[in-house]
Amino acid sequence: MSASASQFQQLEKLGEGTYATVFKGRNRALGTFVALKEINLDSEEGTPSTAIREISIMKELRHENIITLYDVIHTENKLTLVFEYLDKDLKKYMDTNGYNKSGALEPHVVKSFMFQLLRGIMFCHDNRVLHRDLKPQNLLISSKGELKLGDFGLARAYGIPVNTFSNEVVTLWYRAPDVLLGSRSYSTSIDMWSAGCIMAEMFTGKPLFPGSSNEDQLLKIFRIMGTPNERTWPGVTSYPNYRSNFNVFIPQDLHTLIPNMDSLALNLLQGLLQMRPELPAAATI
Amino acid sequence: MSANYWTSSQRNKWQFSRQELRDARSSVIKLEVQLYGNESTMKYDINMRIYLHQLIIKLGRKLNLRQIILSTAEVYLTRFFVKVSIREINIYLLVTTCIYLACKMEESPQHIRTILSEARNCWPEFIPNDLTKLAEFEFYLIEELDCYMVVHHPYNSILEVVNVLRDGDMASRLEVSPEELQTCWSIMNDSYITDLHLLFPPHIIATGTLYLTLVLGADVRKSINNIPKTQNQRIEAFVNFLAASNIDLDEVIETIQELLTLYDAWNSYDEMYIKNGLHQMLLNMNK
Repeated sequence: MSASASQFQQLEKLGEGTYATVFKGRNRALGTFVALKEINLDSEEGTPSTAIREISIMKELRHENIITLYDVIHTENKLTLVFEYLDKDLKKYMDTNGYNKSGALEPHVVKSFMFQLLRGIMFCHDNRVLHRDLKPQNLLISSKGELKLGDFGLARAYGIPVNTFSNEVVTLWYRAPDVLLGSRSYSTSIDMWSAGCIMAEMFTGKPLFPGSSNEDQLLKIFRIMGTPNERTWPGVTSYPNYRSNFNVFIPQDLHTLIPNMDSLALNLLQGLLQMRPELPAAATI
Repeated sequence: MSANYWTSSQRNKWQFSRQELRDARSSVIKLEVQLYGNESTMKYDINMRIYLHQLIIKLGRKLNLRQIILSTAEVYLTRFFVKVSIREINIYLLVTTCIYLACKMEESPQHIRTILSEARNCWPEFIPNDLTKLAEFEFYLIEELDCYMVVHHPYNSILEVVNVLRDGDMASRLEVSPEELQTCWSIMNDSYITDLHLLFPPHIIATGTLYLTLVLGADVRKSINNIPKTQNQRIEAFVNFLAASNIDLDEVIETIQELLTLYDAWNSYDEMYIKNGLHQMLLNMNK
């Protein structure tokens, strides 16, 4: 905690996080870039739990596929987390680097990103940390093609908020079906599901399950994966949000939806996109 | 608790040798003397630490908190005093803040108002009726902790050791009874008074408390039915286990000694003396 705020020149705003604003910053002495995550403190509520969670977890996890927290700067009414700066997130990367402006990435790029994503997830899970909010916006890409997991504000939290403090809605698109069905005892499988959704999106340039509400999200999933029942997923009917009148869909062939996958990729995707929380492939390499 | 002890900040940043700990404390005292002169009788010694431990338990009971939260809070407290003098701060506010932060870390956040009002019920003359004081102190505490807030405890380690003992081979097989496990837990709770959590990994502390339990708890052996053994044989089995394990025995012995020293000091602990001395000190501080 040796750094002081004046050490960094604040540049443009990079985004509005779940509980903070992120700016690009320049280290005045070195000229290097950093990402400054500013958390405003409410003197009546203390430091937000999300900030405490993110700081404490980032202080424990050091890995090349996880964004590095360099420093934490306390000022009077603000807490600034100084993170390593990467050029863009996966969302922006797909927008600018996708072929034919489709957002879809070349299979060899998908392969490299998936490898790095799974390595990062494996490291988290080996250290018993769940990320819980994996999505293209939270995966940062360097100019050298490195991928790193960022934004651990929800990591290991209990309950996933539907709304943030700002008007931004936490996206449902990458959320696992058991969580959508109201499970509170989720495990590593929720990150594996998100990884599957992200993988499909990299191949096609479009989100796999772009739901607009909890209910719609489930239907979008069922439309492709098939509507679960007690035979395909024992116990599914006892989840709080389960309805007996869900539209019944039969599972579709992922290969016809994403034809440019080879058989290894298809295998991996099928392993990741398992509706039953006890089934997804573990992040082991 | 998340994350892996062997790569943790607890091991890499907040674990010291005895000498390092002595050095850190003597520089705190040096600074303290510069700031306040030499006259205080209030020291961060074993008596003070027993007193602080009881403050944590008192507020924890009022708030109905799980033991793990209180243990995390007590680790924060111990770490804080590696860097800061007891004469610089209001210990009642510090205890409250450690619990407030530990609640957030252990996933049971409490509203700041709840914590503050319970703390005011416990110590009305020392807890200001001002939320911002608690919020500010939390900020200060996080800073003194260098933002390292994940704590590893021996509670899980003891269960692992007990499992290994139960499934051990003939020479080292040992069934630890629920009563004995309970005794271990109590001793572990007390261990937070000492420096053990700044010195040794959780499994060492767990092993030390189990040894102490086996040796002291000669009468609690009701639930052992399969392989009847006398007390000596049971201790022997545990010693065989220790010999075959890679556990650092010197550290286990130090742990046991530290705990015995604690219980010895507890016999001559004088709460009123500490309480009055502290109150005198806090009143002078406010002048």
